[in-house]
Amino acid sequence: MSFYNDLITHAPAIIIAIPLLFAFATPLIGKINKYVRNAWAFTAVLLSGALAYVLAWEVFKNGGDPNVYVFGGADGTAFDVLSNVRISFYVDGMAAFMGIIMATVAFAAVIYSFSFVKKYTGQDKYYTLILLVLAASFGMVFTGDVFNLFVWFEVSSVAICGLIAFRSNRGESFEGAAKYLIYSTIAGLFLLFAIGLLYGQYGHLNIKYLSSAIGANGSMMVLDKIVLGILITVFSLKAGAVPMHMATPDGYSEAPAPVTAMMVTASQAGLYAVFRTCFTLYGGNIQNSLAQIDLVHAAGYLLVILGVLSMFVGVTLALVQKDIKRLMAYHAISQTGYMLLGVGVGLAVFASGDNTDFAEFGRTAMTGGIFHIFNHALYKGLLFLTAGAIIFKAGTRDLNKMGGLGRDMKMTALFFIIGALSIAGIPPTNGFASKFLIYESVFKFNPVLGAVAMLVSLLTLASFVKVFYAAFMGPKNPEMKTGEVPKSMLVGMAVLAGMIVVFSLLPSLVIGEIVSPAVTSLAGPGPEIGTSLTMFSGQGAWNPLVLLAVLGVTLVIGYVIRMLGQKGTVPKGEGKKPYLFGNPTEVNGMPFVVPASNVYWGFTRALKRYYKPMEKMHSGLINEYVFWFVATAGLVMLALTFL
Amino acid sequence: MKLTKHFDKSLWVFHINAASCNGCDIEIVAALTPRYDVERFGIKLVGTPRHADVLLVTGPVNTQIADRVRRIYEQTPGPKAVLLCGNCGATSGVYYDSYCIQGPFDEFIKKVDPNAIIVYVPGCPIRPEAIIMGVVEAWKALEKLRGEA
Repeated sequence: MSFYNDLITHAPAIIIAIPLLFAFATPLIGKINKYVRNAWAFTAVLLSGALAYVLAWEVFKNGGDPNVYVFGGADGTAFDVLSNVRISFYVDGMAAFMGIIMATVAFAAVIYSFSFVKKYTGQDKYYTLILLVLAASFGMVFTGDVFNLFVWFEVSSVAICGLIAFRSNRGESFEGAAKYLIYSTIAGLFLLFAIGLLYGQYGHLNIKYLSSAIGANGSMMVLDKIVLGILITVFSLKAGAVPMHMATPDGYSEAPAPVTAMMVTASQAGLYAVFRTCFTLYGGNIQNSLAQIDLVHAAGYLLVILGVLSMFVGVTLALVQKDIKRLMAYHAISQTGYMLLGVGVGLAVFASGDNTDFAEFGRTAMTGGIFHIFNHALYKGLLFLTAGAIIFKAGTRDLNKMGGLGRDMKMTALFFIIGALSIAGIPPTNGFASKFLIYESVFKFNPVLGAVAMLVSLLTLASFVKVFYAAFMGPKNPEMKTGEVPKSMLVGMAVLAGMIVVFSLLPSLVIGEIVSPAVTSLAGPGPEIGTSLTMFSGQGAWNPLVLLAVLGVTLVIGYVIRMLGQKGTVPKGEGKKPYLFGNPTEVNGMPFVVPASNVYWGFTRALKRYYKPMEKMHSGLINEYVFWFVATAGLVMLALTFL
Repeated sequence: MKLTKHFDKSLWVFHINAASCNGCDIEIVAALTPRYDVERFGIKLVGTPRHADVLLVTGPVNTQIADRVRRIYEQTPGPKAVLLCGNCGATSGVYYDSYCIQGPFDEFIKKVDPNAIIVYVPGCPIRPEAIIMGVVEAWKALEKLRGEA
């Protein structure tokens, strides 16, 4: 099996090389034939994805033993003069975990793209850029070198910017792309500055070296604190945390749907970078440095604050959106808040030992947050793909103008329901499993946070009910095209939906096999969560199969009661139509519908003292967005330095 | 399921104001308050005609509301009864022969459903005790319906 061993040894490089090289070759291949080009892109995603899975299998199998790959063939553990300039890839549990997320969503997105962009010109450039985004995402999560992280960060920003502007006939696409680019570039410059500070102080860029060097003499310098502040802020911007979220909805809504799914995973790479910074870079000397553990705890509280802000602001702003993709983009911001909250709680009580808060609920919070990353990539990707399908058929992104698509698009509606139940955290979905872990552990940290998390879940459900009603329910609009979406789009959605169903039925298995190695690689070894079918969170247990069995029994009882009823009482004529306060269902031939924006008018009116200032804050000017980012970075730096 | 006597013990009511002056509406609401208290008979005000057993219609029926009241009547699932509250229901009251009044409401309903159960509660405005009397009349009509069924 020497080929296999060689494959595994060189896997991190190959996983990045395949999309990168295939991307640059795509325009040439595209000159042959469009089918060959599609097959080329599919091969790239398939090969690198399969290899990512194999690598993850190897890494998880060894109990989280990391796969270190040093470019140039030198020994990865020696930090001599030559190793200053070697790029190394360090694939441990967390990195492999993120790798399979990127692989899965990219696979579904590329299959989906085959039909979605069929009618557009410039498809060569589209597939090139998508493969570049994939390469950049893999690069960000596999790299063990801080400057390399910056490089992949920039590649991802530029490639995504190009893809946002894909629909170049609309001015708004360029606006979204410009905002995204300016925002990411300024963040990248801050990142470069922080990396420069680290390099200037420590002389090395290798994450493993830096983690043993920072705090080595028992105290934290001001420079370390400032760098931590910048790194957290910049990577939270990439992830879309409030108050650095402002350019995110524009970008997400203007990009084509499969690109938005890839943008979600790219932002998860930013989240990965936050965790890598806090746990690995700044967690290396925790045992012998009290100042470092204080700093890490402060960073944890900071992540908790960012998380709660993101959750709340994201979902309340999402509830009032008219544009379907903008609504989902705000939900992406909100769910990022969940992950920041979970891992932040884990970081805030980070310590080793068996009798600490961390062992009690911090580890569970981290597991919940990290499991939520995978779930989020799956269900958010699925929701964006279904949004793309809806837009494909309806021709518009405005929720008030679409309706009645559920009659013809039954599969899409089913996938949307799976995604919507998952994002709202309704049992028995996998969204509920990860949110359950987050609720239970965060509640022990601070009950108010647990309550806010549940409230945000409720509002999430409310907004997806609104989207479902607007898009799928109601009478059919005669101007819209009929029929289900093309098969490749259905296949792409089915891939993600299938994984959601598998994760929903076996959350404990997934946590044990996939998430625990990731948590172990960040936070050190600890107790497992649950047996293979039941998930224990330390305060409660969750077994989705039991719930499904109970639901099945209830359905049978309901059916029996229905069968005992009187037959032949079907209403006729007017009685069959929906009750619309006595109004007719059709006026002048047009069906009477309550537009989606009016569904929550009471809620919006009641909270106008919150919404009016929010409206003013999101002014649409990129200058103000950059101001928010810089102000937050400054505040974070000050907070970490002086507290 | 067959109509049983338990149906009488919990009649759910949907209130429709068909161009009324609100006098009878106020008295209906007063009937639901603790002083006259029809809730002790199991009568409850519901928000949608889909849940209703009895439709309380007040006022004469004018051009704007006629079609809507008819539609709401049809959208109420059977078995159902209509309580025409006030003189306006029986004879258009003070609005007799006005330019916009469509005529007696029971004629509309009989066109839609010839076996509709209609109970007239006279008064201008009706007294809450008269509403309770109207409900008793509805019970008697339903009893007859059960006796035949």
